[in-house]
Amino acid sequence: MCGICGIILEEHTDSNFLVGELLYKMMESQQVRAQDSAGVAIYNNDDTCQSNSFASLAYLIKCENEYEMREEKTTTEIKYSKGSDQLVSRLREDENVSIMGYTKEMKLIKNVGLVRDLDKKYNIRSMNGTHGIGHLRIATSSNVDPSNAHPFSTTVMPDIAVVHNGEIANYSKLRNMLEIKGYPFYSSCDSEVIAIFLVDQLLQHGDLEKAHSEFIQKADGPFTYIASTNRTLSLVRDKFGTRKGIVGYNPGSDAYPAFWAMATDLSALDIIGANREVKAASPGKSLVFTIE
Amino acid sequence: MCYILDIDELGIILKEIGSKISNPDMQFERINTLFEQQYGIKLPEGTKRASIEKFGDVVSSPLIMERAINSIISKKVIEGETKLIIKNPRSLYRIGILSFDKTIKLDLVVEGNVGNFFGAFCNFDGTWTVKGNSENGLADKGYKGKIIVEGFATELACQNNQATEFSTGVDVLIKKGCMERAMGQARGGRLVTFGAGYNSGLYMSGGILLNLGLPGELFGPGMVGGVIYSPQGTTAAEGAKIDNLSIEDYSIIRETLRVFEKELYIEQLNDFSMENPVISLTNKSMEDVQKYDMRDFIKIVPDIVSQ
Repeated sequence: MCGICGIILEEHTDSNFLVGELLYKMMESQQVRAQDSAGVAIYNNDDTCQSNSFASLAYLIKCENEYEMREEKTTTEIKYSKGSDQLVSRLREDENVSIMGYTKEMKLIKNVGLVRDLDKKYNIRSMNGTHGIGHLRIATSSNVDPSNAHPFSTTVMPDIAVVHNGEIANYSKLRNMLEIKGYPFYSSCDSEVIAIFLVDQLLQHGDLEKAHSEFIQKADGPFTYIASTNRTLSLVRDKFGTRKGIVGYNPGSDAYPAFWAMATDLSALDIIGANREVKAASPGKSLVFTIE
Repeated sequence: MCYILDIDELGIILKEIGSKISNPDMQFERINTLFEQQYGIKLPEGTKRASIEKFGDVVSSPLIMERAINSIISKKVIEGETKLIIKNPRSLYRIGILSFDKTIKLDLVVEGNVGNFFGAFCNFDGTWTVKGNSENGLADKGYKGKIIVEGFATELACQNNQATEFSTGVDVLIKKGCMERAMGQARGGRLVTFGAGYNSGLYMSGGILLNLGLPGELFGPGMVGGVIYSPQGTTAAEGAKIDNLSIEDYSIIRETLRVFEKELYIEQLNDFSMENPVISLTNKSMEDVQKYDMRDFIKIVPDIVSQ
């Protein structure tokens, strides 16, 4: 019963597009589905501080029973060697720290509570960019804490994020397989395996659609997920289409550019006017939107 | 006589209470006082507890709103109201979920989108019309009634549609089409839709699904009864098989369309038969008058041999 959503400009015409505001509306309209935690990943490639090759490591740190989000910039160019670089290694030793992932153009924010709480703390509605994803979680397997909140990212490849509705039934098997390959996991949530799996595939062949196909083949259970990179947004459903995933289009106006949106509930598309070309994504397929 | 319920008016009451009272227990007490005065309803304590647990307070909880809406509708029905209009419904709320043992008489118009499970367990004489879209589980386990959705319905429309010794099942028209698993586990009732998603007719044991939209994929998995009509190109799932239409099928389609003859502006329905297999209708949610030659349609029925 999680709620997921995503939004992406049809063309890269405006980095000041109100992604945060629109994601907030979409999430609020789906809040009835899930109330345990909320999170967003928003991409803005005009951010001057991220225009160099250095990344930031985003993490959560526990301070007096509350989690705070932090980012630490790398001082040298990171070679994303499965998260074994110095910065990650140092933070992993701190038991109060929960690592989220490397970001360059992506702002990753998540916490327990409702989307309005997330906005109150981090002002997500003011965040602009070209695309983004959002998640509302109702916990089914792992604990309710910020480290198990979505979106999930990695320390292997920057700017990849995943939000997921459903269950990866063979999660342990997939996780073991990836851990044997040396990939680090930072939560006990089954959804994290999607992000790591995609990264593993991308490192092998660099083909995102193929990576999604491989995941659909290898993963058991009911799932729909939205994955984002710094140029793409993908909506992916399991072979039987057991979890919803709907896409809609807003042709834009004088005030804002055209964009695509995707969500669990139709209401989330409707509330932002993405009610053209509405369709359910096909089961066992991925729909990939790329921003040039 | 027609009762109009404007959901924004409920919202104003809640907002005003929220602006003056911060304690959830006191908020709830005040809500019940005002709702009782203005609408004659009282919300159960459980909605307060669930609201605080899930949403942190009472006034912003959709649980309060949807419970209030359903209670007001129920109350009006008990008072003998037979026509209701709901304004500003928002799709955030699960409305139209009533629990009457006996068949009620009610014409209901919802001027916008409805949330999950609109019309669940419904058992009514009359017509319910949704002017917008419907989310999952439209008319879930419905016993009797006629529902028109002018927009889309997402997954599981008409699932568990009930035909029992006391009920006929629900007849539903979805003008922009529905998504996956429509009529799943249906025992009866009729669904006319302009498009149906993957695995529609899942475990169907009775009822009729007439798809006038694009060909569907893997219809009827595990079906043991009922029948699906869909354009050629539709594929059948395991447990179902494709067959040609017989003379009897034409009369089943005619009687199914007759339920929505007025809403679809169907021309010369009485003449429709195997010899005269073209139907003209106007679905105003689509662009033009549509003509359907039923010779281009197939039926999907249980594949008893393979089962």
